Amino acid sequence: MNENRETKRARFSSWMVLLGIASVAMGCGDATGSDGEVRVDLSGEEAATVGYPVGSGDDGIAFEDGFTMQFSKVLVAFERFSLSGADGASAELDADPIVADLSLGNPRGWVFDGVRSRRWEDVQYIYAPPTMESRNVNGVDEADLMEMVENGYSIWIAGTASDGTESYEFDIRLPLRVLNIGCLNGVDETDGLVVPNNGVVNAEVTVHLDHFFFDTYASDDARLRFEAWAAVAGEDGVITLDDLASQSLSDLRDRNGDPIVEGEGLPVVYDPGPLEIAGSNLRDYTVAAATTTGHFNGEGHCDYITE
Amino acid sequence: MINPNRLPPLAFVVSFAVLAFAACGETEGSVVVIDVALEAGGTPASFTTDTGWTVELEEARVALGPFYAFAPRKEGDAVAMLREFLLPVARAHGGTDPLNGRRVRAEWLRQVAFDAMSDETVELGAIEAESGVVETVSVTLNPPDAANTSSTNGHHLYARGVATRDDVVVPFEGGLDIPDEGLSRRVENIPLDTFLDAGGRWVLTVDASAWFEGAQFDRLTEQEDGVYLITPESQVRGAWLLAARNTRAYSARFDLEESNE
Repeated sequence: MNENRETKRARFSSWMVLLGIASVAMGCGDATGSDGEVRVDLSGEEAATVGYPVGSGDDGIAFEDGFTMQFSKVLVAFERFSLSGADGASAELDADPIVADLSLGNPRGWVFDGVRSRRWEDVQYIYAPPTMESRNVNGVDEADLMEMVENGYSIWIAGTASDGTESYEFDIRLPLRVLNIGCLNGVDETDGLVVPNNGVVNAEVTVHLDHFFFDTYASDDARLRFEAWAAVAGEDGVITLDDLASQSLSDLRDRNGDPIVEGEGLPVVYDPGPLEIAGSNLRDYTVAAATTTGHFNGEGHCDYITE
Repeated sequence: MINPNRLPPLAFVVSFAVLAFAACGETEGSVVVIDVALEAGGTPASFTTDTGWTVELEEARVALGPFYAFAPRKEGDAVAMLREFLLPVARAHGGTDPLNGRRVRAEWLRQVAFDAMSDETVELGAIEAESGVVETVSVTLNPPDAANTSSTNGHHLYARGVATRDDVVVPFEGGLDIPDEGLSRRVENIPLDTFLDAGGRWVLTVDASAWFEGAQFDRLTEQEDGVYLITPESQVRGAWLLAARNTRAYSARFDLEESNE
């Protein structure tokens, strides 16, 4: 009798252990079993289409030194978009390489059907140079696309900035490969996104163009400046990435050749903070800044790895 | 067919194996005792900056600490994955903390006024740390506390010396105060690729010859007794602010005693 009780107790315990393990497994992983649809749009925010200043009040973004700006090109090439779970599962999305001009609006990048319904904690995507096979999602000029393919540019921004009197063209082409991983969801500040059961989730890869013009990465009080860019315009009036190399971050000069100062005469210093920067000039700073532009669903930050 | 009566020991063995695998990899995760030291090995008596100034430093002091040694962000072990899942991870971005949420293997929490011209290794003492792979070190440059303020003349960093370029000779001195904005007082991503283990010594080296990269000493204007002062409005101060927080001014290593290697 006692032996039977012990056997029953052992049997009961064993099933409780199994039930516990099964519960944990269900909680960590495949909790549902139905599928949903993921639609991924691409955006350079309002600034990509209307320029700076943009917005108003506390949400407004404008250049500290009074410049206005319009973009004629915001070309961005992506190699991949992927979703993974904290449990290691992969959504196994078939994301083809694409290229878009965000100055033309917010095109749809990818649509994925039959994605397992659950939270995917790790959203990843890659800035990478396009290939001839890259899909042109919204009418990127074919000559520009060829230029990107041949020279390995993944990001190419161009446009015009003006102080109200003088206008300056800029043309910045970046041969970057940046893996954006672990993106926070800018809508609800959770990790990744949730694919609803038999529903649709709209997501957005958001490129923050203001990062190109930030004067600091050491604090969240960055201001946008263009004077140091304007000062290095070449004889053709176009500012290129290589032109920026003549500006030392610790000795920034204005268009008159004088130190750029602010407020009480303090010299303006561009502060890279924790950015990993190759040198100490504005070209290196801008390249490093470009690696931070990738976001998810608006303000959601990603970790990034340059390759 | 599975015999239910066999399940408790089977489940126990499997669970134990999973937990053991998750918790242990070599001796990673053990509490170990290591020594901590500071060196100024990288600072020569005379050096030339990238702006062409030959600088002879007579004094170079810094209020250092706390400093931390971090495990790689993606360790790949179950504990790290669980931690990352549960804890928020800040993203590298203007003003956010790229190291927030990372695992600290070792930390020196007190501030030290360090003579960056010293020839001798300064032994700070022993600390308890966690064994395992370390990838980066972070250094904090806070205002000097009461015990250290006289050493740095009340500044975060203090320097005195003579800069020469062609026929221009500029005796200089001054202090650097770093604003309390975001991550301004932290130097991140100092590389340290090592396996931290018992009996070793974690050495942080300060190279004051990197402090004046980008400095133009002929743009110092204020003088006192024939010495040019590094004022907050000066270009030299701006260059120093960047250079003193650049990883090029620091290095780190982990020395293991031979018997432990």
